[in-house]
Amino acid sequence: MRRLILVVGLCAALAGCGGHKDPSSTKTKTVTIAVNAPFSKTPYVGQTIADGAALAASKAAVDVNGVKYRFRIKRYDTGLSPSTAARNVRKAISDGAVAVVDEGTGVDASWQFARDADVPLAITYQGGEGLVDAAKRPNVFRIAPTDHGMAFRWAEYLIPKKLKIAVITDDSSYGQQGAKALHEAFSENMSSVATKLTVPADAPDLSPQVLRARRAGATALLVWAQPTTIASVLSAARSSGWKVPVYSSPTGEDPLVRQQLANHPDWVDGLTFASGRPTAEVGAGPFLSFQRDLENRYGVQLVGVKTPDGAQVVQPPDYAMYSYDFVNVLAAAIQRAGGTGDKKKILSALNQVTVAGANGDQRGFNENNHEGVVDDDVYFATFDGMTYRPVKDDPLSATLVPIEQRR
Amino acid sequence: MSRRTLVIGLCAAALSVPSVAGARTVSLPWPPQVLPPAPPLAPKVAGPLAISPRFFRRVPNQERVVVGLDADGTPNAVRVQQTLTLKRLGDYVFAIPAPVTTVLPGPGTGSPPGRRTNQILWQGFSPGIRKLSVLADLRVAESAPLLPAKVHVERTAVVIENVTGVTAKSYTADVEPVGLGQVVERIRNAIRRGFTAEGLNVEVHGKEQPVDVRVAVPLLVSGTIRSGDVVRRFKAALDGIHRTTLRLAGVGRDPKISMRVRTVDVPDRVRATQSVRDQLANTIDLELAYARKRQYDQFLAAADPTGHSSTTYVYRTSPRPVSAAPIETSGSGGNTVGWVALVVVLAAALPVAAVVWARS
Repeated sequence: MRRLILVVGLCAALAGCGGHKDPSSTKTKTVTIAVNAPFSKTPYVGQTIADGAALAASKAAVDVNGVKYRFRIKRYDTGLSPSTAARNVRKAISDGAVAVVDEGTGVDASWQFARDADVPLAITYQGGEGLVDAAKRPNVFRIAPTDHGMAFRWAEYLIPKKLKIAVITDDSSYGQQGAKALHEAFSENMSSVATKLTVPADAPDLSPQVLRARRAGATALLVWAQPTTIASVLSAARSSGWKVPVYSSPTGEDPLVRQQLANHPDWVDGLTFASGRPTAEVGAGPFLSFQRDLENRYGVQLVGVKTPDGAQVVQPPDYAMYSYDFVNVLAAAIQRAGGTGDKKKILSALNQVTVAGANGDQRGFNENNHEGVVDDDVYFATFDGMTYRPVKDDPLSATLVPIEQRR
Repeated sequence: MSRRTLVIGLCAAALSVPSVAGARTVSLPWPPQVLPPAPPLAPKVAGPLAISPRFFRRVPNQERVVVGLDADGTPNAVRVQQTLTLKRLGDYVFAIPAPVTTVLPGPGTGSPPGRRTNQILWQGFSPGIRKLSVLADLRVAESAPLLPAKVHVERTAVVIENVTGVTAKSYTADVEPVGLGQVVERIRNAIRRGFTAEGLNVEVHGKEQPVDVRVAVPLLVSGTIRSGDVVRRFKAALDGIHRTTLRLAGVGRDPKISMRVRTVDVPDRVRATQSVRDQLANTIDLELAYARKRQYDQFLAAADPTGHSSTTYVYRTSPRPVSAAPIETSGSGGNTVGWVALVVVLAAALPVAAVVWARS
């Protein structure tokens, strides 16, 4: 009889469990988006990715069957270490992240953890070629210019100038990815390349390497490297009186380059970098509106240098717009998937939705291609007086309006 | 005084047009209303993305549709190579609806095409001129019924049939001949330039009487039939109205067909010497036949549906493509039923078992 009472009691308790409130019936659900970036090693990159994602998360509104989804951002610092980055992704998944916004370090290892959990991983900074493959890595997406696209745009832009280019890359993984992409892009026009040099990423003085480039007959330097390397190359060339034109990867616009050369602002003049265009054909309106929202929430990102007439220089949040756009694409995919209940559906929906990007462009992925920035969208900009503006001798760049960088 | 006379004269002239004033302006039968909507292929899509109006009339469209045929002439594969040429500087984002199974970059494309459910996606920047080319495999069940010609292989004959013909609702009426003449010229001009004819309105006196008309696209079919070592060539025009089939009798066993089909100019039978009613009937024939031809000149929709398009259809006897074994779905749906059944059984059995155990 005591057993019977025990069983009846247990049944009653179990029945009580059935009456527990179903989480899906709540009116608001908060989902977490992880931001995995090198906050400690390259704060500008980490901060700009996180700010863009956080701004979108604060504004994104998904309403599915009466459930309102809200988004929050959780930061994980990679310290530029691939193993830390991979560990972070595992941690983020165990923390319940619905997606990972990633700078790109360690993705070769971390994407599989995300795949096993059906979690989308979006790279919003690095452009390395093997990182994204819609067939082999179906959960990896990217909204950032690809190395392949930038390298081919460089070839398209520089070869007609009949320059003899010294290609300088550093030994960081970023530099080596760039070296690979540039090799492919210039492989059919090797006569344009005077020499190829790999330099140490942390070398304080690159004078010997720059001298070698000069002796090889170079009439231009194309540097694909960390910001400090670009500053060192400029410093070595200009201090020796060599007024060679210098072209660079998107790291050329990193505030660190200008900070390191703050005592010689004229050395920065003429530096031309490639990057994803911050404005679309519709003009600067959408980007300026995005920039204003970002500054109102997180403050102005001062570069720490001044223009020749004494105005403070601010950094346009061009990379922030990529993480911002991804969060908006994700929100649209969650809306289309009918909520966060079925993660496979979200992954599938990410291939089908398009949103208006921060720069006014259409942003989205498709089943063939998980690149959110098409190669055509790479533009070139040149520094003058510590601020930059699009070049005029490239068809795409010539259509873009300059972004105000003075405060 | 002479001015006064002039004014009175003008007023009189204006008042003397009551018959014209009593006329109504009506359009010729509007192709989207009276003709079937497909081709071009138009599967259901989630978010249609149309090309920016800046590119209108500046995106020539060329297509080559390759149809694989079974031994009996049944289509077993449809592949399209579509080439679009953007002729303006600027951004482009647009999607072509198509029942695609695979989407690959075509020869010489300036950027790779994307694929979404039932869509070919294009996005990029045109530096003034940009060629976009795609190779797309289509779902046969949805695309083959819209091909312009059918092939039937019989025991000793091959029959090629123009299947573009449809019956459309039209009308006959007393129309104002000068306006009708202008409309004919508009249609002829559109045909010359390869654009959609627009502004086709006429002044009608009295009521229109509805009539049905037969509309078809004239096709030129040419090719070879190989049976063993014997190769037979053929070439014929099938207008789809008076002549719809080409019967090639006396072919050997297991014929291998290789055939090109393309649309040809629609016949213009409008003559000034005809009665106005006949002119109207022939004008409508010309208008609808041209509109129908434009449909088959865009098997896949053109980025600019009003612009210049041309399509060549190639039919070839070829083995049925081997499709990979269907991947077993992870089957959340199928498993769900099983799990639900298990839970129901357990929910019923557990208390009973527990009570039995408690009483044992």
